[in-house]
Amino acid sequence: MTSAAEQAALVGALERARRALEAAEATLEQARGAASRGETQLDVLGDAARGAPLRGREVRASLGLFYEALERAKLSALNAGLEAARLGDPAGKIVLELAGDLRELVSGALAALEAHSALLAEAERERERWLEGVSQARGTITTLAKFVNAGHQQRQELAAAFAAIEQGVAPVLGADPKTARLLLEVNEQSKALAQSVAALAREPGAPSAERVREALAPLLEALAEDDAR
Amino acid sequence: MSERAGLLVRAGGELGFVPATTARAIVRLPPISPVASTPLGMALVNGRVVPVVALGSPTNVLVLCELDDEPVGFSGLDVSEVGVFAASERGVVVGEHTVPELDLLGAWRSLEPVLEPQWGDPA
Repeated sequence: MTSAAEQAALVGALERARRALEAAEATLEQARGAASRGETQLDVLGDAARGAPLRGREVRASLGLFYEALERAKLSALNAGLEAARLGDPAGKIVLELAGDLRELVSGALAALEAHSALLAEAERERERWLEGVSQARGTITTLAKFVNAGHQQRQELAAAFAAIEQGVAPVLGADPKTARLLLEVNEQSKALAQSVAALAREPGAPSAERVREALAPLLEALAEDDAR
Repeated sequence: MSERAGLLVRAGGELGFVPATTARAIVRLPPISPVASTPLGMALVNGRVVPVVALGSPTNVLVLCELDDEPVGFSGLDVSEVGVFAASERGVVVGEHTVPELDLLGAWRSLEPVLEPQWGDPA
C-alpha cells in the first residue's frame, strides 16, 4: 500500500516528466524548422553563386575586348610616333609629342585593365571558396537534420515508454495518473478547507461554525478514511 | 648636335636602336610559319608574305623593316620608345647612356647563305 504522500510524490514526478517530454518535443520541432529554413536559405545562396561564373565570363570577354582595343591603340600611337619621327621638325615634333601622350594614356589604361583582371580573378577565387563553404554548411545542416530526426524517433519511443509507465503506476495510484493528480489536489484543498473551518470554530462567538462543521462532516469523514488508507 | 629618328627596342634584355629609315611599322605579331631547314619564319603582314627573323623570345609585336628594298619582319623585340634622339657614333644617346644601333642588315645578310639553293641535296 502506498501512502498519500508517496502517491503525491509519484504523481508530481510523472507530471514533471511529462512536461519535460513536451518541452523536448517543442525544441525538436524548432530545431527541425530551423534546419529546414537553413537548408532553403543555403539553396538560394548556392543558386546565386552558381550563376556568377556566367557573369564572370561575360565580364572577362568584355575586358578582353578592351584589352584588344587598347593594344591596337598603343600600336597606332607607336606607328604615328615613328612616322612623325621620320617626318622631323617642325610638324613631326608636334605629332610625336601627341603620339607620346597617347601612348602614355593607353599604357595607363592597360595597367588599370590588368589590375581589374587580377581583381576579377581574385573575386572568382573568393566565390569558389564561398561556394565550398556553402557546400560544407549544407553538409552540416543535413547532419543536424539527421540528428533531429533521430531525436524525434527517440522522443516517440520515450513517449511510448512514458505511457507504459503511467499504465503501470495506475494500480499503485488507484487511478490513472491524471485522475490521481486531481484527487490529490482535491484532498489537499479539502484539508485546507477543514483547517480553515476548525480555525473558524475556535474563534469565540463564531455563530455558524458548528453548522458548517455539520455540513462538512461527510467530507471530513471521507478524507479521514482516505488518509487511513 | 645631330639627331636620329627611330625606335628604342629591347632584345633579350639589351636596349638597341633601330633607325626610322629602316623601321617601317610595328604590327601585332601574326602567326609565323617556320621555313624548313632555315632559321627563318614566314608571316602574312598586310596581305604580303614577309620573312621573319627571330631576335629573342617572342613578344606580342613584329617590327617590320625594309632591308635591301625588301620587307623583313623581326620578332622578339619589345618597343620601349619612339622619337628623335641625339646621335652618337654607334647609335644614339638616351640620357647618359649610348644605345647602339642594331645591325639588322648584318643579321639579315648573314642568313642569306642558308637561303641559297643547295645543289646536290636530294630533292
